[in-house]
Amino acid sequence: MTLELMLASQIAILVACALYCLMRGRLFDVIVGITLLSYGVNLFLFAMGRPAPDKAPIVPAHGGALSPADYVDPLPQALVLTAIVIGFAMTGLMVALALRRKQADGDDAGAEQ
Amino acid sequence: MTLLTICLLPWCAALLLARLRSATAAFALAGACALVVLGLLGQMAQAVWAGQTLQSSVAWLPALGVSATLRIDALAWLFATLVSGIGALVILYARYYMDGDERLPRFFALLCAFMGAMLGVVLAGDLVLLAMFWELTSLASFLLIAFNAPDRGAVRGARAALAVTGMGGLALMAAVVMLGRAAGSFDLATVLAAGDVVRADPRYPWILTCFLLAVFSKSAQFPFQFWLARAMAAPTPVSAYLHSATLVKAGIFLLLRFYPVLGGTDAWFFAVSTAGAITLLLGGVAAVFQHDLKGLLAYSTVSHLGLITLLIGFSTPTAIVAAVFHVINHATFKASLFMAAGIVDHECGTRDLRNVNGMWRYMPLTGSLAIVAAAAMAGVPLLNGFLSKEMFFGEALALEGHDPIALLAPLAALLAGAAGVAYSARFVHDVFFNGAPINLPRTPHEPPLWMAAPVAVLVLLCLLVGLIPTPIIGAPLAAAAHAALGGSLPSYSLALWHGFNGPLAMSALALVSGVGIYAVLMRKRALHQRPLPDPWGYRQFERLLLTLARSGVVLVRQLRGDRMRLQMAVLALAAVLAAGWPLLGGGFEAHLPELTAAIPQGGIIVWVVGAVFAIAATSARNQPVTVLLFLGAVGLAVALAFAGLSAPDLSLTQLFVEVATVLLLLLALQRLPVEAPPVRSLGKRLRYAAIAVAGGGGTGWLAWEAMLRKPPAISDYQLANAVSGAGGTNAVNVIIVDFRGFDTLGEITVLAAAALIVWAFLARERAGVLGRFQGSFMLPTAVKIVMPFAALVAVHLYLRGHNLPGGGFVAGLLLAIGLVLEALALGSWRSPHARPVRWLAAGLGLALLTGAASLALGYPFLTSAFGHPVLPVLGEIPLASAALFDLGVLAVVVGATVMLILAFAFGREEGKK
Amino acid sequence: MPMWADICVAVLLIVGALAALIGTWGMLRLPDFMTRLHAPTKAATLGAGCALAALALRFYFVEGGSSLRYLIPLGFVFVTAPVSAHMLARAWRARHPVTPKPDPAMPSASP
Repeated sequence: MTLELMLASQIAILVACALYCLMRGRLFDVIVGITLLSYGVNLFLFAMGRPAPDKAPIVPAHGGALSPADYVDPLPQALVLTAIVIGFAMTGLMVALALRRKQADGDDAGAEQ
Repeated sequence: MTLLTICLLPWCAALLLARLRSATAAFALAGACALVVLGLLGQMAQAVWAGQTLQSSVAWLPALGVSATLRIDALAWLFATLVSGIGALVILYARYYMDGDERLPRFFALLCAFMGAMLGVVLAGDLVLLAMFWELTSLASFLLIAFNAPDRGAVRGARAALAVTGMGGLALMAAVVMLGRAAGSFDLATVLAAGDVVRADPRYPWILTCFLLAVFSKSAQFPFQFWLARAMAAPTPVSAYLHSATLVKAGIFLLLRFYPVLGGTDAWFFAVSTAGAITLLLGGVAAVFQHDLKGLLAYSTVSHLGLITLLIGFSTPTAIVAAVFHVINHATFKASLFMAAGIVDHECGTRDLRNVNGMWRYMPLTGSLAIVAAAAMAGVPLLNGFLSKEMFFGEALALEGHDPIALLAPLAALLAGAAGVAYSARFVHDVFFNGAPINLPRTPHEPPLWMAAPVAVLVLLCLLVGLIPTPIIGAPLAAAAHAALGGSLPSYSLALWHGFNGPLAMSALALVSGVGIYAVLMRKRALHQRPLPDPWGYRQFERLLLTLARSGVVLVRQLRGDRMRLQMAVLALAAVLAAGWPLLGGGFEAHLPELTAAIPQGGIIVWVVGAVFAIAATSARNQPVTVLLFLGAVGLAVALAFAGLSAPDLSLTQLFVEVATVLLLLLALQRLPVEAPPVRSLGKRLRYAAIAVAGGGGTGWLAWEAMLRKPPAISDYQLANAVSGAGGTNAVNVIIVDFRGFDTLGEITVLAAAALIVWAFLARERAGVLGRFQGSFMLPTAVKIVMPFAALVAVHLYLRGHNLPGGGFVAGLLLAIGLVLEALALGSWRSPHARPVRWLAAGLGLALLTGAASLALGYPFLTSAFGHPVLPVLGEIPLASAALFDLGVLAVVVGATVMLILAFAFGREEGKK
Repeated sequence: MPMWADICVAVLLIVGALAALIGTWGMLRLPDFMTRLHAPTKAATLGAGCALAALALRFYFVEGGSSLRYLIPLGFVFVTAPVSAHMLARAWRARHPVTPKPDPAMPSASP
């Protein structure tokens, strides 16, 4: 079992669970599904940086030439970092919308049909 | 310059007219405009007839090779003269036709706008310009047909016309773009000279298809003929102008214009002549059976347009001459016939052929003019229609080579000729003779003299051309045909008498049989009692519209917001397809050597935790709070995975976001009661599961395949330059605050926007205090003890962020969670430090200012500067302007997070409003 | 790293893990809320405390320098764990108002 397979299978499980929750259609399940989906997607993006242990992208302070092979790709990490925070904001937004809608029509049948 | 004036004058007039109130002033302005244009064209006549091409060009979109070129040669001149000449007559006619109608200025404005558009089509020297003006003619036609707007017929007719010609406009745009590519230029002159290249181009069939779609839709060729009959809902001057003489001739003009480029091939011959022949016969037969006077004329127009198209399809030089000639002739006699029909309609109050009879007694002048024009339409000798019809018969007889068509063409021509005579006969006999009028709303009499004058002018032209063709029309016809052919002119004769030959025999036969057919239909078959023939095409069109509208409704219903399961299924299937597509098409490209990394210690455990809790969270039987705890466990596993795979920054961020998310969702849950999960059948659940597994599997597969290859990454540069370029050793943080700082600025703006939206949503019901925790002593005390430490840790994380894991995002999240706890513990959202709006404003302002500062110093936005000053006590301090930016990020994250969570915490309770 | 320190670290870790295990087991087995509450609270304090102490000890000997910062979380745990237990108990009480026979030791807290 390689690291890549582990990551890929974890992504697959997270996305599958997320989709199942989303398709169930109840409002709460949608929130859960979106959260799971954001885990999966973040891991997916992160995986594009070809992660490996003990290669944190922190370079020596005054070193001269360095070999990129000694570090994982920092760019996907930077993107995922902001994506995590924005994902949180989006979760909040979605819940707020749901709350407003529930107040508007009295129940959360919203996700039904 | 003159060309530009010709092209723009009608538009200026239209703009002015739209502001006018007085009908007389409007008439004067519109008439003057048409006459000036006519005069300017007259000035050019000699030069153009001599074969010159005048051109004026203004750069328009030089980067695309598109310029506003205007160009006039004999063909364009001929059409422009038709447009402005008949335009002038129609304006005079409309002045009396619509006398007393206060909408007259608007009508003239639209008419002038149409004239401008049409002149633009004719004079355009650039393909893109041509297509643009072509669209404008469609729009002007739409507005004119819909002139009596609330009227159902007008609206439906206008809609049909716009749909059909608009579709044609799109097709023309496509054709023009391809043609420009194939010919290497959008310049008309260049394109006209590049015929061989275009015909050899592999795109030629596509160009031709799109081009013919445009042309056929505009010129009402089969199967688009129906819109023209519907367009008769327009006021009669419009019918006389647009739908007989000019607009519908735009398609013919285009056919003639591009004949040297696209014509001459077998595809052209078959497509154009087949459409022309079908239209010719269909229109001719349908015209005989119409009971509406204008309907009869409309279908006869369709038939004549088919005739011209058929001639162009024949693709012989003499046929092109005949086509150009018939364009002129048809415009004169059909416009005059429409005007005469309008007079009858105007005077009788109806134009139903079954009621309008015996008009000869009431309006002999109009009657005689109409009879002459109708005779020209039927092809009676001594009139212009006869000449061009003779040429048409001659061409049909002379056709050789293409077998079935060569045999059928003369027969079709004869049949169409007979039909033409029959409907002309009906027009004359049914309106002016055939007993007495039945149930007319008013007593008809002769129209005002000036209303009949335009008809008289046109009829006079019919006669003159018919009698002495060469002096009247010889020079412009020859020049125009020469321009249309793009080469040498064939020998032809415009003489009235060619001796006894085939065409003459056909003419005679057509005349006799046409009159006979009409007589039989009228006397023996009770033509008046016959139902209208099925307007083929319109019903299909309506059905198509209906189908489109219905499918739109269905589509909307399927995609609407509340069909979540379907949308999710689509999303999942899209992921499957995205992963599966390259596999179906022969697999991903060859695998690179696998870069298999070692599995870090405990990796398996993390994997199992993540997988088990993710699956557990999907079970609907759990309490919501339990599900949230499971989610938290999954998030923890993800954070551990980040930590183990060399992403300490991500790990920290994920950890704090996890805390914030659980807080937020718990607070939201107390206000969002979760109802029992809907009961679903096992089959349905299995289906969802199947889709979910497929979607997840596809995503995972995609990730797997992507991880097995290593493309060159820009981050090699970023790693190498993190220290030298940005003064930081933590490459992730350097990317966030420096290399991709602009990106981050956008992201924190989004964050702030989302938080503000939530704040605004829930603001209405935000309560000042949180009742439940009041009276507690321990929690506030504990918070007071812990809070300074939390703040200290946040500062620490922020300060080291540029070099070690940490940074503004992480520090901001930590601080925010601390502030939220403080606010919750104190039970008041007015906790001293949690002023989220201020945090947001300060953060965004700081980030922007940092960027603007570099702008002020003459560097691009967000350029960072850094130094490592050594301070006495603290030692070397890494100081980068990016740190200020990061501080802005921190403040925004604090503000947004506090705002998001507190918005849910301090909402008023349900039912206590 | 001397032998005795090694043994200390091992013992601390084992005690901590055992405390966590017992706490978890207790949470699963104990019958009602209040009793369930106390099991994990003690487990968290003892388990996390032992683990962090082991960590501090080990890093003191391995890295030499100050390992004080590993004790800061310990302080946090000691402050927060009882407070959270207290808050949980209060919340439970708020939901389940005391029975008609009031307990003199506990003033009614339900607002």
